[in-house]
Amino acid sequence: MEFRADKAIYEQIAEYMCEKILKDEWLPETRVPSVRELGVTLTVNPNTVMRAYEHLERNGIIYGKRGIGFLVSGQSKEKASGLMREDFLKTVPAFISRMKLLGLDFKDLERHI
Amino acid sequence: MKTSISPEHIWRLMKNNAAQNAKQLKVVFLLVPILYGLHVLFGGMEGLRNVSESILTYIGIVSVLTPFGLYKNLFHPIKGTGYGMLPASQEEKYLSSFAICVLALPLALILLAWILSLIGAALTGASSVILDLPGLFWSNRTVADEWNFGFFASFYWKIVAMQSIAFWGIYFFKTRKAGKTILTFCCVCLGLATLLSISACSFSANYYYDGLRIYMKDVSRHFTIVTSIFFDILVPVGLWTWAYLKMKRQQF
Amino acid sequence: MIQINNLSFQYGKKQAVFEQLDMEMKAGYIYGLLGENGVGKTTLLRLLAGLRFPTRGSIRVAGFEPAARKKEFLSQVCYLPDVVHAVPLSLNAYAAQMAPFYPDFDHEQFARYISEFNINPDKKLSQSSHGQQKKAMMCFALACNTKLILLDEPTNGMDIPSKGIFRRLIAQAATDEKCFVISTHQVRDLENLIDPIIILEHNQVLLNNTVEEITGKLWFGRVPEKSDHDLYREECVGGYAIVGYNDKGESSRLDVEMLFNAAIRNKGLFKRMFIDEIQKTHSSFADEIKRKLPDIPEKL
Repeated sequence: MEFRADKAIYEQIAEYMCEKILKDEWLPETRVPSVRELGVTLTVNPNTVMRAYEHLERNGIIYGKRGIGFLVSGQSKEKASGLMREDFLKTVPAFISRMKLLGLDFKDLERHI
Repeated sequence: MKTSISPEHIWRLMKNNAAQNAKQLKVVFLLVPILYGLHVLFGGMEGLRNVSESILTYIGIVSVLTPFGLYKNLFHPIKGTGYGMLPASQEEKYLSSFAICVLALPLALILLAWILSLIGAALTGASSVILDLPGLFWSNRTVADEWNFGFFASFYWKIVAMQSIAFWGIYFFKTRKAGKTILTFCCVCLGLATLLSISACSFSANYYYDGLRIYMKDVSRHFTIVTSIFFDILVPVGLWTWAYLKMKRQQF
Repeated sequence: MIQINNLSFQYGKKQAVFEQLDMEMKAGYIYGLLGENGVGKTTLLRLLAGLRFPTRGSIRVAGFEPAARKKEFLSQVCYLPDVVHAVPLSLNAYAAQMAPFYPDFDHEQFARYISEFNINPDKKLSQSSHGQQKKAMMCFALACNTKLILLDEPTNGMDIPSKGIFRRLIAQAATDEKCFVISTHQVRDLENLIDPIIILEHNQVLLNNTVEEITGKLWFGRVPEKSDHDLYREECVGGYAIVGYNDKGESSRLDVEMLFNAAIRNKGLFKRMFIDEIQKTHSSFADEIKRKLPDIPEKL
């Protein structure tokens, strides 16, 4: 998988997994791929995948169960949404400064919605 | 320190080597009946009786050069890496090369020649044509009219002893083994010849008395026995051992 | 899995390639071995394989000394050199000869790798192109399932589609018990796969750290203005692409080429930051997972 240059890969993997959850491709209380399985799918080192899983586990989006693996947690959708919103809002300052540079205002943006 | 030596591994290594050199081996073995054929063609019955000399010379030359033909990539930094990393113990690899060079190839060629001579005898009805097999492994020739070295003076041992130089060479040199071995051999011969002639000169001082001439005969007899033991037995065994020790220290 | 202590090595009487080198590598990881030309990457791999002997110091691989070349050691190591010797045999014939010596050789995996790389296993290797030969030997090497896999410039000579297949196969083949050491100049071919990263310099190691440790201390990205604190910078659209100190503790995507350039230009600093200061506590991959994610099962 091709990754963007402006963000750590483990964060992009976390984003990828959150998208799957938000789009209902991965449902709550179902098993997500193991660290190595996802590493093969995305052709990424398992260290990096593990960091993504740690990140998501810390934020309550997935949890581990002995004997089974990682599961999507019950409140994953809200939590995933919250996490991705946080990330998305971080890109706003750069977006705004570019707008100012180009002399655009919100009326110009409305035309594109 | 016990290292595991599995006969299966040794056999596999030998088969692998034979398979990798299949073409050359086929040619080598094919030449035996061809030689027989040529002798019959150009010599008829007489030719069949005299073929053993040329066959044995041929077997001798091929056997001596076998190590160069079958192991020219041993320890080669690029071509020899795969074999070097093959999970067989060093002892297994050494024994497999020893088994092919010293045992399998010369004995197989001798056997083939003997079988062909049997066929020749059967076709002509003359048993004198048969290769004297036991005679190749035991000699009644004596050294200095006294010592009979038996097996160690036989045709088989002589070629295997000469071959030990090439066998040593494939382990000692990493590249251009044949050339370097022959060069080393020539230098050693020259060195030895020089040494021996110097010592011979010092012996031939002005002793003309009968008594002393008998003494010289004793010395020369002992000298002959010692050199026979040295060159015919100690050198090949020593070279085989040196090759084994060098193998363990050889880097790629 | 690999412990190198006080290793010194030189070819004959020439200048030393390594002097008192210390290094450790653990199971379950895919190490990237980087360094300028002539720094000793191939030599290190050959030392690990037992093809060369240390002049001084010791190497231990899976508890064995490589130089002893024991059968039990060799069956746990697969070394694929940069220049592959093509034997006049087909890949199938080659495998038939060599596979019995490797106790963990998997014929099914072998067949799968051959079909993924689209190799004709009945064609003589010596009659195949250089790239095909490399891929063929790669199939065999991966199917041996040895604990240590040493690859010297594996993507050198591979066509572009094959590089992607190679990446996927390495990711598939990597397990908790195996250790890959991949020496390469083509870091872009392997960028997301190699972690930890080792940077070798003449006589010293500048870096032997995981991507997490590196991006903890260094920041990679673009800035509008240059600064004297930049460890390395390249001009780009909108400003500069830099490698700098990660003072703010922000995460960023590691760029291996930029990292390498920064290391080469700040050798002493890197050595201090990564080799001297960081305590080597990272254990095998399996143990790391148990430590960080204790609720997950044994086999991932």
